[in-house]
Amino acid sequence: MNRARRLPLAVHAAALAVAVAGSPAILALDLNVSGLIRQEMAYKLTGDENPFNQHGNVYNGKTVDNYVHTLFGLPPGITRPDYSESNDWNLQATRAELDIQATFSETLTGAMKVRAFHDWGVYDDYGDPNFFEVPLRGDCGTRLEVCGDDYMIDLPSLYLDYTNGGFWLRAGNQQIAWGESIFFRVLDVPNGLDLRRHNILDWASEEYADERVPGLGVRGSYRFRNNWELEGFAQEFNASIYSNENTPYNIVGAQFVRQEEETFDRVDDEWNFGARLRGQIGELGLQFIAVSRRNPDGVWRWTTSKVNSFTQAGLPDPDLGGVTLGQMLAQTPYEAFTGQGVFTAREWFEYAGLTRLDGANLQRQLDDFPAAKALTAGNGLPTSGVVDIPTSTLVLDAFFSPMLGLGDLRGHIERTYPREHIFGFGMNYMFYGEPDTLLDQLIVRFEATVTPDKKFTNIALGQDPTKETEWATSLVFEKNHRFTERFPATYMVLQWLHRSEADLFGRLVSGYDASATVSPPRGRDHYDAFALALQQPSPTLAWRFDLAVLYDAEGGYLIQPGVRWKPSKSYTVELYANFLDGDNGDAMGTVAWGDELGLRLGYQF
Amino acid sequence: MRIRKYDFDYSRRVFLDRMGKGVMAAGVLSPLWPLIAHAGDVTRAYPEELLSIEAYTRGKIRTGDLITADNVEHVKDLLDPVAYMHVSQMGRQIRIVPTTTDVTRMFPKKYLAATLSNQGKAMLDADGNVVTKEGKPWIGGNPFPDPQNGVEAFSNLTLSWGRHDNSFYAVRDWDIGPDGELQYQYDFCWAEQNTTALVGDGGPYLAGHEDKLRFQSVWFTYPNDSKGTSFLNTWYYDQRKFPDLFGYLPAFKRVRRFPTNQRFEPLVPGMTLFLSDAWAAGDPMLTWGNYKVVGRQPMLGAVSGNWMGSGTNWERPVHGGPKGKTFFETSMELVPEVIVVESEPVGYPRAPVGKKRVWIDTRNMMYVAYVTYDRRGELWKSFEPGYDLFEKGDDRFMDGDAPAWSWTHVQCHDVQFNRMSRFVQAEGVRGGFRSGYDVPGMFDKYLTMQSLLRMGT
Repeated sequence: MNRARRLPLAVHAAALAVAVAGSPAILALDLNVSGLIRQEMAYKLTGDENPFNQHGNVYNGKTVDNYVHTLFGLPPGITRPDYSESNDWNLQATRAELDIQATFSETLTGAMKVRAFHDWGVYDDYGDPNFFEVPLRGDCGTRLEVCGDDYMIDLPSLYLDYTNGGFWLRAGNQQIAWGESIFFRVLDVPNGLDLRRHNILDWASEEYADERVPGLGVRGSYRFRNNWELEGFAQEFNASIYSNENTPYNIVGAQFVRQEEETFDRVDDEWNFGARLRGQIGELGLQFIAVSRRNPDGVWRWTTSKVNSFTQAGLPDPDLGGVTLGQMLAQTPYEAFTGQGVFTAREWFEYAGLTRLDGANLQRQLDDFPAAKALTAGNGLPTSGVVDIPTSTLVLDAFFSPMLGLGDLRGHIERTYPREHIFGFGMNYMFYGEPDTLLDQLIVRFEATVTPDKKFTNIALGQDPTKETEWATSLVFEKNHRFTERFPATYMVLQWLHRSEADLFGRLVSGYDASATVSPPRGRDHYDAFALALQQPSPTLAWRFDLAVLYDAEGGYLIQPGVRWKPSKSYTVELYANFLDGDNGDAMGTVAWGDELGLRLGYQF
Repeated sequence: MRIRKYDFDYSRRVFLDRMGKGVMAAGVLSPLWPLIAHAGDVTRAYPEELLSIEAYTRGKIRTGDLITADNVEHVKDLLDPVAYMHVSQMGRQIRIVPTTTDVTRMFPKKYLAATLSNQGKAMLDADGNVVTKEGKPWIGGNPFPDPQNGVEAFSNLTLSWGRHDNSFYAVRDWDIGPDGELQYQYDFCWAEQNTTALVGDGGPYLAGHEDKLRFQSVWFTYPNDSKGTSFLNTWYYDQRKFPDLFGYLPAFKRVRRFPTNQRFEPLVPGMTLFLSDAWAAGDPMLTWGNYKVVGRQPMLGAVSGNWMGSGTNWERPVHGGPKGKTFFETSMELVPEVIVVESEPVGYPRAPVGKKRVWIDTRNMMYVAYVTYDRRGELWKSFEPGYDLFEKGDDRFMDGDAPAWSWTHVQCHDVQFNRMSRFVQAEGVRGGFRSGYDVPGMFDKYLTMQSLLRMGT
C-alpha cells in the first residue's frame, strides 16, 4: 500500500470505530485526549565515532598491507578512503505523541496513540543516510506507520478493549509485554524491538516502552478463582527494526548491504501465538508461558548480491567463457566498485570481531556459494581448509587487491525469521522480616525460558543457522528502603541475567573475543550480565535521581546516571549520561563508542 | 427556641471531667446513641452552646457568617492548628452553616441501618482485630458507634472507608506551590470494594474473600506522563498485615508486584497525599499503635453544605493564599462533640511521621480533621475533608433510593514546605470515569490485575 495513504486510512478506521460505537445505545462516548512534545538530544562526550558507519570506520585513511601484494612484490599499502567525520551530536530529534482514549460504554473502550518522530539530521555523516525507511512493511517498519528518510509517524496503539466480568479482550495494534524482569527480556518475548530512534540508550527506567514493535492482533484473558488468569494472544509477526547504515546508532557494519525485503515478505503474513497462566498462591506469584513465534531479531546469513558490479559501475565485464565475471560475482555475496566495502583482510577480521563473527571461516561461504568457490579456484586460491587467518588472508587480500582482484567489496546479507517455540515460567516472592531490615518486603523474582533448537545466526554467516537449545534465566532482587526520614524510599533492584548461548542482543557467544589478529573467535561459554538500578525521589517527587548500571561479566558496562525534574504539570526535564565501555569479549563493546550526555525537554498537554 | 438550662462553660467542664475520669460515652446531656437509635436526632444530647455557633460564640459569629482573619479568634479552639493558620495568616474564609441534628443526613442509608442493627455485636479479639461475638469478621456498619478507646474509634474509620460496600471516586486534584500558583494537576480514580462488613444485599461477606477487608485501586487518567499509572491494594482482614500491592507503570507495560510498606510518600510529583493519609486510616490499623484519646471537644467540621450540585462537575470555587488559588470554598458547622485520638506509626521504623492526631465526629464516627507531626514533634501536614448529603434543593445525586452521602473534597496542606494539594470528588474525570457507589461488577472492572493492565496505557 502507498505509505502516504496508510496513516490516514488507519485514522479513518479509528474514526469509523468511534462512529460505529457511538450509536444511540451507547451514547456515553468520552474522549480523553492528551499528548506531549519533546526535544530529545544526545551530545557526544568523546571524539569517538560509531565504527560501524563509513564515517567512523577505524581504517579510514589508514594504510594497511595487502598480503598478496607483498607476495607479488607489488606496493603493499592499501589505504581506505578517509570518510571520517567528527560529530558533536548523536541525537537531535523532536517527538510528538498524541494519546486518545475513548470510552464507548462500561464494557467497551478504545485507545489510539500517535507517535511522530523527526530527526533533524544535524550530523556530519557519510552520504545521505536514511533514518527511518526500512524495507519491511512497504518502506516502513509496521503496517500503521508512514515514514520518510528523516521522520516516522506511527500508531503504536490502536485497539479496542472489551471486558465482561472476568473476561477481557483487546483487539488491534498493540504492544505485549510479559514477565517482571526489567530490561532483561526473559519472559518478555512476544514483541521485537525498534531501535531506529535512540537504540536502547534512552532513559533507562523507561525500559523498552518506546522500542517494543507493536503488531495487529488479539489478546485476551479470563480470570478464574480470583487469583488466576489464563491469557492468550495471536499477533501478526513484525520484525525487530535496526538502525540504518551510517545513522548514529547503527550496529551493523556499513560494509554490509542488508537485504531484508524479500525474506520478510516471505513471512509478513505469519502470526505469533502465545499463552500465559498467571496466579498467586499466598506470597508466591507464578506465571507459565508458551509462545510460538517467528524470531523477530532474525537470523543473518550471506546472500547473493544479485548485482553485476561491472554493469553497475559502467565498466567492461570480463568474459570468463559463457559467463561474465560480473554475472559470477552477482551469484556471490559480493558487490564491487562501491568504495564502501572492506578494503583489506585486516579490516575484514577487525570488523568480524566487532560484529561477533568468525571472519576466518571463509570455507563456509565457499561451500554455500558455488560461484564464490569457482572464482576462488579460478584464481588459483585455496578452496578447502579456509578456516584460519593465514589462509583466509590469502584469499581475501587477493580479491581486495585493486591490481590483482576487485578492490573493496561490500558483502550482502539477508535476515530470515525462523519459527521457534519458547516455554517459560516466572515467580515472585515477597520476603517479610523485622521492619527496617534488609529482608523486610524484599521481592525476589525469578524467570526462566527454554527455546528448544533455537536457530541463531551462524557466526560464519552460513546458510544453515546454528541450532542450539537456549536457556535464559533472570534473578531479580528488588527493594524499597527508606534510608532517612526526610526522603522517600530509595528503589533498588539488582538483576542477574544468564543465557546459555547468546548475549543480550541475541548474538551467539561463540562469536565473542575475536579481533584483527584473532579469528576464529575464542568465544564464551555463556552470557552473564548484571544490572543495578537505583531511584531516589525528592520529598515532593519533583526531582528524581536515577542510576542504572549494566555490567557484562566479561567487563563491558553501561552506566547511566540521570536526573528528572518535573517543575510543573506541563514541563519535564530529563538529563542523563551514558558511559559505555567494552570490547569484543563482551556485549557492550558494540556501543562502547557512544558516551553521551542526553537531554529531553518535554511539554505535555 | 431552646431554653438555656446550662451556663456557658457547662459542656467544657463535662468534657474535662469525663476525660479526667476516663469516661467515654458520647453525649453531654444524655447518651448520644440511644437518641440516634430512637429518632435519629441528636438535639437532646447536647446543650445549645454545642448546637449553635451563635450560642457558642455568644453572638459574635452567626450561622451564614464567614470566618475570616478578623473573627477567627472567636473559634480558634474549634479549628485544628493548620486550619486556624489558614484563616488567620493565609486569607482563607470558611462559611458557617447550621449544625446537623438529623444524623440520617450524615450516613449512607444502609450503613446507618447496619450500624444501628449491629450495635453491641463487635469486640476486639486477642490480636486487636474487630470480630463479632462469635469471632467472625465484622458484619457491617460502625462496629463501635460509641467507642470506649482510641482503637475502637479507629476501627470505625478503618473497617469501611467510604461507608458503602463499594465506592468509585472520580477525583480531580490541584497542587499549589509555595508561591500560591498551580503547579500540578491530576485526574485519578479511586475504587474501593469491601469484602467483609458489607451492608448491602449478599453481605456481610464477599464469598471467597472472608480473609480480606477490601480491595482498593487507584489509577491516573491525566496528565499524559501519569496516565495509566495504577496500583491495586489488597487489604487483609488481619490489621497486623500489610496489604499486597500490585502496580502498572506505563513505562513497563505490565503489572508487577511492589513492596507495600512505603506509605509515607507522594503518589505522584507535587501531590502531598500519601497512601497513609487515606481516610485518616490509610494503613492497616494495627500497623499503628499507642492509640490514645487525648480530648473531647466541640469542633468546626465540613460535614454539611458542601456538595456543589449538578452542572458543576462538583468542582468548587477557590480563594486565598498568595494568588487566590490555595483554598476551596468550604462550609463548616459546629460539631457538638469530637473525640481527639492520637496514634503513632509503630510498624514503620523510618516513617517520617511521628504521630497523627484525628478529630472524630461522635455523631457518625467520621473524622473531620487530621494532622500529622514529624519525628521532631513539629506540625507537618493537615488533611481536611468535607462531606455532605448530595442534595441541594431539588437537585440530588442518588445512591439507590436515597440521596448519596460521601466526601466532597479534601485539602491536604504540607505546612513545612507550604504545598497544598486540594482535590474534589468530581462527578466525572478524563477517561469517562464517573463517581458512584455500590457499583455493580466493581471488582471485575477495576480491582484485579487484569483490570490494571486494561486501564494502562
